[in-house]
Amino acid sequence: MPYRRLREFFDLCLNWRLRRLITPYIDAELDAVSRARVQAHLEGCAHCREEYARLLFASRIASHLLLPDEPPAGMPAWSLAKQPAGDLPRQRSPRHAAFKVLPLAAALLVIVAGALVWYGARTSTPSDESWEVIRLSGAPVIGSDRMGKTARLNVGEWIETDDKSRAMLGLGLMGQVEIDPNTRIGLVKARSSELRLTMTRGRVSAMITARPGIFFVETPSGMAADLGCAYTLEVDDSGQTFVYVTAGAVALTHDGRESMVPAGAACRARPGTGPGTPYLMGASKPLQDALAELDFEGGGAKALRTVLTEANASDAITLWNLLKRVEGADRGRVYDRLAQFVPPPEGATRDALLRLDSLMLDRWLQALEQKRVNPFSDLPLAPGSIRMTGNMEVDRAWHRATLLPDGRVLVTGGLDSYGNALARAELYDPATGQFTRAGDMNAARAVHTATLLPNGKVLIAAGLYSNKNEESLATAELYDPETNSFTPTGDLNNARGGQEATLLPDGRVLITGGVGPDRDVPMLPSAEIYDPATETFTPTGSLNEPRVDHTATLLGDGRVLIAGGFGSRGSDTGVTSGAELYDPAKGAFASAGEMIFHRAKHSAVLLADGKVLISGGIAYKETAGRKRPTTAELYDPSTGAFVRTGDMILDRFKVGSAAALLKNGKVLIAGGSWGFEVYDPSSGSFSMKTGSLNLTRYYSTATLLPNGEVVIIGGYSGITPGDFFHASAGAWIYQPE
Amino acid sequence: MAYSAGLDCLNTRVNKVDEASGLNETRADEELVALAVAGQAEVFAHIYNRYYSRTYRLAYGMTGKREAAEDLAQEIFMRAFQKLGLFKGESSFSTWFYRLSLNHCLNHCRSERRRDRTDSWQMDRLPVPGSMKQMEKKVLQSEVQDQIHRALFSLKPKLRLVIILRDIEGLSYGEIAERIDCSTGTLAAQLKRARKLLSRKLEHLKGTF
Repeated sequence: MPYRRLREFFDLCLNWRLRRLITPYIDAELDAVSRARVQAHLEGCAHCREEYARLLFASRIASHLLLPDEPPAGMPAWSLAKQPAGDLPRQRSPRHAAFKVLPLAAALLVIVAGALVWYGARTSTPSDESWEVIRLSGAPVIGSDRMGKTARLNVGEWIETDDKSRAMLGLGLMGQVEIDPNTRIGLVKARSSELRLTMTRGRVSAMITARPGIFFVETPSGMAADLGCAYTLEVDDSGQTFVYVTAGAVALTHDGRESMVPAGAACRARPGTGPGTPYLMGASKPLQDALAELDFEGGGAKALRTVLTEANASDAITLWNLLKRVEGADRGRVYDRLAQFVPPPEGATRDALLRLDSLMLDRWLQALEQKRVNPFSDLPLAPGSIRMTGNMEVDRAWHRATLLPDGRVLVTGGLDSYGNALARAELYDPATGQFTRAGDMNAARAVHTATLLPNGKVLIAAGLYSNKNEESLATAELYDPETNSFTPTGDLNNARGGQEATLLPDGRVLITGGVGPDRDVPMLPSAEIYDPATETFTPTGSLNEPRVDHTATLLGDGRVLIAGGFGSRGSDTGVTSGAELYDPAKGAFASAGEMIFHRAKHSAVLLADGKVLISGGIAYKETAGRKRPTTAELYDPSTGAFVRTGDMILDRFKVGSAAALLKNGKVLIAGGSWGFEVYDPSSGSFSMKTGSLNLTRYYSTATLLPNGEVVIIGGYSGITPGDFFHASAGAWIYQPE
Repeated sequence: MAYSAGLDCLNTRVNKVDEASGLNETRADEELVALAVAGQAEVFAHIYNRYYSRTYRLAYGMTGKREAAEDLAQEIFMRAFQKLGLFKGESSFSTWFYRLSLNHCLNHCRSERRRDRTDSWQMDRLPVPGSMKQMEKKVLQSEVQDQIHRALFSLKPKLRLVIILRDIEGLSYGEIAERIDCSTGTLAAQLKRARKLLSRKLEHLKGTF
């Protein structure tokens, strides 16, 4: 039974090694490396997160128990008179030897039996040395045979995908590997003690839950060894390898040369040379170029100078790896720069580290990783980077986050990791970095809308009360920050979920599209307006095409741009490129032409110059081989035209509300993938920023705070969308440049 | 928090007693024990004064009853006094004493549990404070305290003990493992079991903390 289905069936995390570390993690009894591993695991595993929350709650509540130091009447005096006669201190009497030996013998027996069972389990060979294909699209082949859905990949066989096909392999309980188009990959070993693939071109994404040091992928320029993680590996036609890690760490090795690549970092390797120096995905371009020069082109003092000048505190991992790459005075320079950011561990001397004492180096690595992953790190948040902040009480995706006038953020509804809609609301306070309960909504809802009204209240409208399209709500309610409670308001005319809500300049709220309860015609063309004065919804015009998963953006002139989504026309697969404009004065919709690309589940943000940045999304139906564009385009209201702008670095979809206009006029795109990027309207280009969300986050939210920072909340993760549904209770803070 | 406040209180008291009796407060436990074993039995009073608070707290945590805790604490000291001659200095006296008190508490609770499984709960109420506002707060606090203590008391003695030592007394895994004589792995497993049960029993208090 594939891992995924097994997990769903038992609703368990099978990574028992990490599960048993949760208690010592709560009690701060783990070393830095184990702590980081547990932390990364908790981020990706809803089951363990739930257990963590339960155990933490018990520990906290028990610590509130007050035990008195003495009886109410005070400590009674010690009196020998109370002692029975003859009960004075006595000497030890020897115990019978058998009482000492028997328990020892029994314990030894149990240990030996346990060791035998463990050894047997560890070295047991699967009955068949092959991997199961758990998902397939297009027409990949094994050897020369087209793969079927029940195919297995045997040792010695190769899978090849063309530009329209992809496949996913299940590694039993040990994880899964997704094979992208145009990839050729072969299975070398499939034993429980060693899983080994070889890859000559293309791209694979791996999520491995086996213990570290079991899963390997060989490429023409090195070998990637999994250290308990999720990562993506690319090999181009010339054999060059590129790996980027989204959770845990990967060791990239070749011919004695090794690079440790932690989560959020990437590394290149070239045939003959082996791996280069790892760098964070947000590292500056000059730093990346200088590293490539040092690693592969014999770059000298100038390249090293550039690396040292460009490096900041978040590039400590690069400098640590570089220590082993350079010699003599250069090593001293790298040491000095690294020590500025993270002091060497206690007891480590400069000489020992310059001699590359492996124990000292490992301790230094632990220290800098601890600084990097510790959410409560004392390192100031570097501009252009992110770090974790407090956790929510519950994990959620498809929720809404609304900035309140007092600077706090209201988080409402969404789906938890089990697909249940949530009624619970929480408040994020930027001053403390913590979430607190905000009472419950009157109905559990997800893919609803939450809009701050001019009177300071928040309108919560419609949504789905489960993860099924037809189970949509027509109810609405108002959150009052003063009473911290939700009260019902007028109902919508249509039950809907996945709609968009836009606050109009006159204080009313426009609700557009979504899916309704009718299974046959789920997508709605209808729109309605909420008037806070009368607390009622009234129909207003009708969309030119029904749509859901679209965007609705208020323009500077008061009109609303509705773009993309799953519609009734457009491409065969239902994703539309059509756009329309709502004019509040006329109460009607009019066509606004076509976007350059078909998009649904994309993002749209109004820029300071009045244009709208539209990026990412999905171009075709997910089930028919997904196509996630990295493209972005701008809508110019003055000309009414869509023009292409620079491409994003990562492909993103299910971005939800995870894009935010920053105070400096740039746009942060934080959802639909694992990393962050920022769009600069002046150059029309995207750039990656430091830090990652550990795993890809779909349908998270990004909210600009009054201090200019952005809080990114929740979202669900999975190596492939729609696969593992692991909503996150995590939150991250982005510090703009 | 409760632990450090208790320690301060204990230290003050030890200083007073030592000053009154002319004994130096820095005199080691082991020296006092040697004197007691050599015949100066009254010296044990200093050991008693030093260790009374933590012993009473432990006894109270394990029994939940004022009188029972008082009796149990006395029993522990009597037992320690009787066995002083068996202390060979292989570990510090505090470790030896702690181990003895834990074992005695466990044995006591196990036999009590066997004797009366429907033992009624008699959580002591905290003294009523002066002002109304304080009183409301204290009553609320006392109710929650009562519930936590009830839940704790429903656990098996061994599980109750690890919660007291870790979450209330704030000892490290190493210290607890040494005192109850088990590995840190076993301790972690016991803590996990205990906390799981506790969280289930106190689920209704979620959001209070």
